[in-house]
Amino acid sequence: MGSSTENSAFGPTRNPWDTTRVPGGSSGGSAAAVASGMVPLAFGSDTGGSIRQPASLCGIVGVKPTYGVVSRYGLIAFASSLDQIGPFAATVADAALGLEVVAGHDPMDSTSLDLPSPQLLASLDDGVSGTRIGIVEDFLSDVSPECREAVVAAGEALAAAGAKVDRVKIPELLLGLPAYYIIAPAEASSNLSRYDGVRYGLRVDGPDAETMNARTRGEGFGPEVKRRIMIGTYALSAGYYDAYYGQAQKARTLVIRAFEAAYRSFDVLLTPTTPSVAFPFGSKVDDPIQMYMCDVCSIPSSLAGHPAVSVPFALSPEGLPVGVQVLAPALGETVMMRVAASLEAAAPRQARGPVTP
Amino acid sequence: MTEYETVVGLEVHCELATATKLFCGCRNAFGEAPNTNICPVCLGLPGSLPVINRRAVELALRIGTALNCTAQRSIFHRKNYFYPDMPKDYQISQYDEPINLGGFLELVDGSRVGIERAHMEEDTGKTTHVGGGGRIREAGYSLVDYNRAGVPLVEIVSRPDISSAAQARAYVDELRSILVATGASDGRMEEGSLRVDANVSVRPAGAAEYGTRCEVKNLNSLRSLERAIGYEVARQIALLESGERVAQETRHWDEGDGRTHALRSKEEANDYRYFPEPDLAPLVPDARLLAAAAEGVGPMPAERRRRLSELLKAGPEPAERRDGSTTDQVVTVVDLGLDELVHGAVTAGADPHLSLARAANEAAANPDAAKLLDPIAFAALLKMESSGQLSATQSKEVLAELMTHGGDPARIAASLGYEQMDTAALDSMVDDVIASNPEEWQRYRAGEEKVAQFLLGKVMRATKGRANGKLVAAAFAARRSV
Repeated sequence: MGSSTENSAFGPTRNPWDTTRVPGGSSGGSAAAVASGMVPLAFGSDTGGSIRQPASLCGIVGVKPTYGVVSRYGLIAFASSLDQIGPFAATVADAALGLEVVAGHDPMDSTSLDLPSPQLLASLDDGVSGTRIGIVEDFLSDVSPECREAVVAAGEALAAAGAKVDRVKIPELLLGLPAYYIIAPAEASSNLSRYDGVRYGLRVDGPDAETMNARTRGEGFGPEVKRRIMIGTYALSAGYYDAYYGQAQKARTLVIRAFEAAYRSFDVLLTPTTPSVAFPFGSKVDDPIQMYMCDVCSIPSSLAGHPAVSVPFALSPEGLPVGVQVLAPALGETVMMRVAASLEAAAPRQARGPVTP
Repeated sequence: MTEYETVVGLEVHCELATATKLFCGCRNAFGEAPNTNICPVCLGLPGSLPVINRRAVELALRIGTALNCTAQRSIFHRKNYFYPDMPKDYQISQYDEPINLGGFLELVDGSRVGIERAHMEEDTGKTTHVGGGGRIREAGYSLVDYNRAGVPLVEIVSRPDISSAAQARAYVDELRSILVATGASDGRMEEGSLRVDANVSVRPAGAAEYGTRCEVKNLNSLRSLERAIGYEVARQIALLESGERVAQETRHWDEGDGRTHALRSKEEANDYRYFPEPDLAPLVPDARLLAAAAEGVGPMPAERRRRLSELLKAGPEPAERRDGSTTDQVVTVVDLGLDELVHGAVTAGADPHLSLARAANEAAANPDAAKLLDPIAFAALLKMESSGQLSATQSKEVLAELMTHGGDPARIAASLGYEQMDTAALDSMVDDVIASNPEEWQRYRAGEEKVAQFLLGKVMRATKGRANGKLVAAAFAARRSV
């Protein structure tokens, strides 16, 4: 969990663009493996941005599909209503191919959609002529200049390619972050309780069962996981449920409705993927709120179950990759990936991996 | 002393008679070697996911239909608790949006008990705590059998409409027949297919407010249910009478000492942190499912008892009843699902009371075989008995044979040597017995009725039981009056 891989039990992953910086997370290992050219394709799991944020920080393409497009059977659950598996690749076409291969109905996952795999490659190069694209203004103010400028430039590039680009205000999307940090920990607290030293996970023995349980969970979980288990357990407790979990679900509904309204006017939305480029190790690890803020742009589509993709589009003055995010309504992968392909065509080649660390 | 009234609400957990578990393909079977019917899903292996068993939903809807409930869109919740009987550490259950809402159950005496809800959930594993009095904290070690984990359950929650231990028993008894009749459950309390918890309180007669209730657990039979409620009511009244208050708590029924005991509050203080189960979609009963459920629900036992009783009014009440009351027989026959057999036999011309008695007693000894009986053959046999062609004993023998091997009752009677003895042979047999037992004959003639049995026995022995007892008795009686 977390946006930097600094919470990993196996130690942090380094960003191939600058090994003093984080690769993003939580699927930062997959992103770094693709960004450094170790593999052409990797998969990650995205709950609130864990594919898109590291893809952005590592200069590669990362796709979070519509919830239910890829089976979750076999995926270690973090927040079940949000978790989705998706591909990382150096190019939009590779990512599209990866998604086509793993998508499709799975009778072992009740939330898996009973639909054939989306056909993405066939229309990937059809261009964006006439596509209605909305730049979400609400995510332009509290992000770093290079992230804001990348989105503005991306809008211009798409307009030049024939898209109808406009600005849109969707303030409800800002409710996403606080709602997410109730819902995801609540589900995580339930999903992680089976790792008790008897049934699953690490075991640290003790003189009696209670001590063994306490030691196992004390040593087996890092501080961020413990923090989320505590937040989630609290949010679901009798007397607090309505004030926290109940409110968060209402906020989630507001986010979904705001998206619905926006997608009446736009085919896709454009936002920064992250508020900043890759940050140095240790710079946010002691400030969980700062760390959580990394997901502010990626969380809304997770809450709505919508697809989103991060595409490398620019380089920061320090030479670090900057991604932009394309959001689409549920099952809008085809148009979303077509827009991503147009952005890729307009982006400087040096903005994307693989790179040699 | 104040008069008190008893208020009881029951929670009945019913294991559904499905072939497989609620969320996976493991067999739903009782009494197999521990941890053999298990898989990644019911063991909660990380990465596994639940998939709902359609048949379980259908049976749950059947129960709802049979209990006059309303079926509605429902969702599953996670009930989180830390205990080794649930491998995921949460139980998938239904909470505030259950599949069946509202309803009632009509008891044998015509009274009605309201049904609050009948919701679906998965069963837990079975824990055995070895040593330390069977409690987990004091146990030397604990064993867990996950064969039962994930078995589909329907929890039927009654309204607090039950006003006595006896009514509670009648409710569970009736509920059991309904669950069996709908095919939803095998209804075996002794195997845990049916588990009952009782919420018991008392209040001064006529009071508007409910008294403080205690939940009584470990009620493994109808008898323990009735005893436990009786005990609990007396305990609560004694507390109130001595000026004390009833504490709201969970109490454990001890069959051995016939008392309820408070469970340690530490073990019951649970905050289940319910929240909607994100791994399952809402359950919207579609038309096909509702139709399938309705089809599986025939007339309910109350209705069937009425129909059977109507049938009996048609025939004359027999002068002498040796086989229990008609009401008991009706209940038994409906309970065992043999009422269609009786209806069939009567339609084919058999005597209603005799049909009922043979169904409630002899056929009931082997209900599975009895259900397969051809009502026409059953009626033919009963007609042979009514006409005196067969004695009651012979008729029962033929019925037993008919149930085991089937066939034609007349042929079975013949093969057993029960063909009717001709009157001449019978007469000479009776005369022989009189001649060789002059003393007994004189006593019989003098009016000593019990000697009749002795004389009858002699004829029966001589004919190896082939003689019709009624005809033999009549022959002796005729000779006495000469």
